[in-house]
Amino acid sequence: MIEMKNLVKKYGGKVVFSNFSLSIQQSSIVGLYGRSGSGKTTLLNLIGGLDLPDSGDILVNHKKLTKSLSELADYRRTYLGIIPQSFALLNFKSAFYNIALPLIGKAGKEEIEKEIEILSEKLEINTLLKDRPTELSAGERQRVAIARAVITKPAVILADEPTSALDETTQSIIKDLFLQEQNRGCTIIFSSHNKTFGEFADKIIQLP
Amino acid sequence: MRECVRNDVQRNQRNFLILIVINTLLFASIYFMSVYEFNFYGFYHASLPNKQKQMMLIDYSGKFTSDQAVPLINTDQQMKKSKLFSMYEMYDQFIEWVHYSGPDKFGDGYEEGHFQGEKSVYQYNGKTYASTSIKSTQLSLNCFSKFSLQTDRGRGFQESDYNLHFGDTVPVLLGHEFTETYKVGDQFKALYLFSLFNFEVVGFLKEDSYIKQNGYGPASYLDRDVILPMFNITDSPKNQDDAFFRTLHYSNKTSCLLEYDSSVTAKEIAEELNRISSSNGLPEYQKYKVTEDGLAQISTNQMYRALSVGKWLVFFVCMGTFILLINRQIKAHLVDYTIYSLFMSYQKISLSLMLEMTACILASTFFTILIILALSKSLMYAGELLLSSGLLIVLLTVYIYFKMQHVDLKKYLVEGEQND
Ligand SMILES: Nc1ncnc2c1ncn2[C@@H]1O[C@H](COP(=O)(O)OP(=O)(O)OP(=O)(O)O)[C@@H](O)[C@H]1O
Ligand SMILES: [Mg+2]
Repeated sequence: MIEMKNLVKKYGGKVVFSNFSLSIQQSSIVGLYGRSGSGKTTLLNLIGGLDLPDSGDILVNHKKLTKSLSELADYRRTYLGIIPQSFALLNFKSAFYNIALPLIGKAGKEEIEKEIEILSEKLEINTLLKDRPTELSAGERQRVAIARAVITKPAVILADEPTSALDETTQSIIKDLFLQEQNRGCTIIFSSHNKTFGEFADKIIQLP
Repeated sequence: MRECVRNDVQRNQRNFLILIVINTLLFASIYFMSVYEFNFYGFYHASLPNKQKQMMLIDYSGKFTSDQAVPLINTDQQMKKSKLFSMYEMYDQFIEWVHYSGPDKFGDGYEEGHFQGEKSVYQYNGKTYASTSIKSTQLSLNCFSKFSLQTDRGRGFQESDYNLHFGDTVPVLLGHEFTETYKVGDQFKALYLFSLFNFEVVGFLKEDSYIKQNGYGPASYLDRDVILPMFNITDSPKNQDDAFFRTLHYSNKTSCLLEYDSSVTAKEIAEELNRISSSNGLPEYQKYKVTEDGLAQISTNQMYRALSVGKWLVFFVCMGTFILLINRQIKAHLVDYTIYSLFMSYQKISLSLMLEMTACILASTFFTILIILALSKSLMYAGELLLSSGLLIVLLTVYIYFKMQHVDLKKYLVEGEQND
């Protein structure tokens, strides 16, 4: 359960959130909509601990989010699966390594290989695992980023425009994946420009 | 985390190598600069046995022409009068002993294996002598008390032995081993600095007598040496040869050891010497500060100053490039570390950056030490170098720590700013 109470976020003089409150139930799928610049990424960053609010609180399972960078890193590592708008892949590493990154040191080689095999087949990137992100199309890179976020079976997935580079067929693959994740108890918060992608969401938040 | 470090080193290999090269250049230039600067200003106070007194060795660096004789004589006299230091005149100019019949062991270069035996030597006036190079040391009278030199046969030198005229018989002391073949009162002829002199043995030094050329350096034993007084010869020369002789003799005489109080800096001594030599129209003397590790050149001439400015330039260029590169390296890392920090523990990430910087500095220190060894064959200030590397590591660690505390993660994610 994630609660946001009276969030205020400004960049210089520009107010993105003046008094924003939102409560997200566990195992729900929440879609964030709004024009470009309406604050979708900002909100996801606040939840992901990548940015701090000027005032107001974010509570995760009734616990206030820490301000310590190292504790926030631990929170992301153990609790979240993040799909950044820019994908944020390591360009000098193979797609396989990028997907495996969160599991390195946590799981054995065989286990990692098995997980990636299943996931990459589902996302139709199983033939691209040896390639580097620079050799992939935007849509393929986006799916690598999605696989990387999902592979740890996180409690919460934060997906910033996860289908921005995908065609409709592939979008439905992502939709299925999200629903499957929801079934195992995962909370999914995504942003999108595309209203049709959000039809399966439990809750739609329209940012002004 | 090993993964993490390995990746970064791999990817940033080129940056990393550039950093090491720049860093090495920086360390080496700081090193050589401080060595020279310290010598120039005399900051370096050697931990010598007697800390009340410091030593400086000086060397004539001018022309060897007969018209330099009078300036050199004046320089010698003015140096003697200086209140800042006292002169110990010591020189090991061998003599050419005419018709020598003694043992080879007194020959110049005997111990080193290049003793030549008897040969023909020309004097400047054109005469030829069959002579043998014999080890000889010229000492001023104060050297005898300084090094506790005593005679056990005959007499020691006196004040009057030091004021000679052309044509005088020169009194000499012989080292202990000469007692096997010579006695007090023996006379011989020898060329000293191309001039023929008559010598008379007036005494023998005690066994195991020695001097230390650098004041403190290793002992040179005098048992096989002919000891000449480092005499004054101030009467006007009768011919060109005598004039030339005085130039050579006084250049040796003023190439001497200076002793001065620790309250005076090497810089003050150097300035006093420059004043004296320039007032006599002579070029600056070469100056070496006597340290525990050996001799360190002190230089105050124009070229040195230009060099010094050049070194500062190198220093600042290196420093600037170094800071830029470090920053670039850290920034490049931050992009990837941001990605890592989405999935990995934060401390480990900072740690790996710190480890890389430490590795870079240690590698540079190592190469710097190699360069220093190659260039100067000694490792003066190696301790200081290691200490400053350590300091740099600490500073960078603190810098990286704070940089990582204030890193704007979202900046690299939202804007899609990525490396490579
Ligand atoms: N680092 C920043 N400094 C200043 N202003 C910022 C910064 N990040 C975001 N903003 C501003 O905050 C507002 C919200 O930005 P945000 O990225 O959250 O929008 P968004 O809804 O994700 O847009 P898009 O659909 O284009 O991704 C925008 O007006 C943006 O200009
Ligand atoms: Mg956005």
